[in-house]
Amino acid sequence: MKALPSIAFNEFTGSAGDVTARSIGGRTLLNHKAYQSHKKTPSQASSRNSLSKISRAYKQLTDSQMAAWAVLAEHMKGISTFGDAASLTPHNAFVRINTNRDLVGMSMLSDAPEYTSDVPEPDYEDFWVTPEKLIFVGMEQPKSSYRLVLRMGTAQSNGVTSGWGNLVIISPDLVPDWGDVDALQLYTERLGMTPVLGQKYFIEMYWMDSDNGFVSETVRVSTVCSEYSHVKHEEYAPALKIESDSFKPTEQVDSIEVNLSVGSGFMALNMEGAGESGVAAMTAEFETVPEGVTSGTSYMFAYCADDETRKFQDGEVGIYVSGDSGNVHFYHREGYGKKPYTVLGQGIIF
Amino acid sequence: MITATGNNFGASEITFKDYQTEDMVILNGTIDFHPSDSNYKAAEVLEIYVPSLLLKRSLETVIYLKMDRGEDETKTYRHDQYCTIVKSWIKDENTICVEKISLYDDCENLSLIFTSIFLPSNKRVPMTKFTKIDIKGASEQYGAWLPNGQAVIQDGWVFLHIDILQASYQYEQVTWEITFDNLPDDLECDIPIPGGNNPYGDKGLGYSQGKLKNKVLTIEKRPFGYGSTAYDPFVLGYFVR
Repeated sequence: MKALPSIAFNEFTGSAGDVTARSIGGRTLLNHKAYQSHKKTPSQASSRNSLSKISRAYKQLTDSQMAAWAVLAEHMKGISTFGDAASLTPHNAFVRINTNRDLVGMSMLSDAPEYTSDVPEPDYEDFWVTPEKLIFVGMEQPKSSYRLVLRMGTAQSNGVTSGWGNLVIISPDLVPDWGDVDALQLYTERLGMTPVLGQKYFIEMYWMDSDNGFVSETVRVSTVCSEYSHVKHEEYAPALKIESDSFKPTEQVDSIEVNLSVGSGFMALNMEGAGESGVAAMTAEFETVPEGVTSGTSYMFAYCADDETRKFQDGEVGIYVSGDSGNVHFYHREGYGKKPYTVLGQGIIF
Repeated sequence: MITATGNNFGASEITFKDYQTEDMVILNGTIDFHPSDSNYKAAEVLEIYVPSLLLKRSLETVIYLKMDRGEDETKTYRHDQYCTIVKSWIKDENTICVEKISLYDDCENLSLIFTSIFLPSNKRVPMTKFTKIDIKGASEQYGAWLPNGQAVIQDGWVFLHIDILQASYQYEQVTWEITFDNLPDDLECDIPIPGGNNPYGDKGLGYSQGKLKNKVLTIEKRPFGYGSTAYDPFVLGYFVR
């Protein structure tokens, strides 16, 4: 391959040592020279088969379909590191969209999807990479059709500054659970190991719109495995929800979930049961008072699940804590107080 | 104020008075509809489409489903309205969902009444508490036992829980007026008041529509059985200032 002596000029092409240069669209791209290992893993084989199949399918399109992909390609121009828009051919756009769709098991599109708007980048409040946790929190899903593609690699030593080259897809279709993305099990299954304290991990993520295959810009972050979170340097704490197994068994209550993670000063409650005999009330005692829980009062609605006329009531809901003991209770107040009770809803705590 | 962009159950124009942050939404409003509408019959879940809410998803909260059989022509102060509670939730930033139940499908005029707060989940915040005040009504129409309850007053919204009680029977045929001195005077809203029982076995509780303005709650018409023991009327909701 012809090579000019200086890589400082835009016209350099070819290889020199371990660097290869290419000129594309008027830009010079430099890469580490790739050496073929001549090995093919099953997933590589599957991926290459899909890519090859998708690439060949473009040639089967009609002229009008290709024209539509050309229009879409204009919208999908990427921004290069140097700030210039990188051109995208209609074939590139077709392959890119359909490869993305193939990742989540969607069918190939022959007709170009309509471009409506950019897919926003993933945003999160914090995350932990610990030997027991790989979780992002506060990651809201901007649109219900968006799926999070998460790529990570194996442990790197702390001194590695660029470990982006050996990332694999941990999951192509994560959906946050109320802002939580818990990926430890997926990571362990994919890479066969859990995170190691003190080791560095490189993470890439982006949203993909499963309606069409459009993707966001990729967010990259690296972090050292630690007991503390990446952003706020805090130890991990689950969202404060207290379920039936945290309460002492009682004939009064069949099931209970107290959710104290609904916002400052509020709670949500689902509580069902026969209630206390002879008293318009229902009480569940804590096995142990969970950390962070204090006494408070709210008012919520309740109805009787056995009552076909669906009359209902309101009641005082209380969390009572005294030392190591405490309870959650419902006391009927107004309305029709028939048992068994189903208490539901969200309420202020005072 | 929010004006809905549509719905899937044949209701006409829907507006809500609203208070919103990214962590909570309070909606006040009444939506009238007819269960005979073909759209209502086809829907499995009732959906209301709105311009983007700040809260993109919520847990289930509670709203009222009310039926209206019109006025009791023998009594000018009484109407035949009953209500029950159904679940509602924010499905995404443009969709509010309501549980569909068939309890009142044999009635022509139904309403969904929102005085509700919608909240998300998985917020890692410490357990904190608001400060409540005790409120007690003043009214010459009541005897020794006066309406009373609790309020939490915030910029933008107020939480109310009030035990309304039955006024003296000598005032049965007039509008009731109850003054709550320590409520903010800019709180002007419709106040749903469930309570009362129809001895003919109607479903749900009786329903009255109160109006709060300048700290005075007026209750113009009540259902039959308002003072029935074990069906005490009450107020429980979140109201936008």
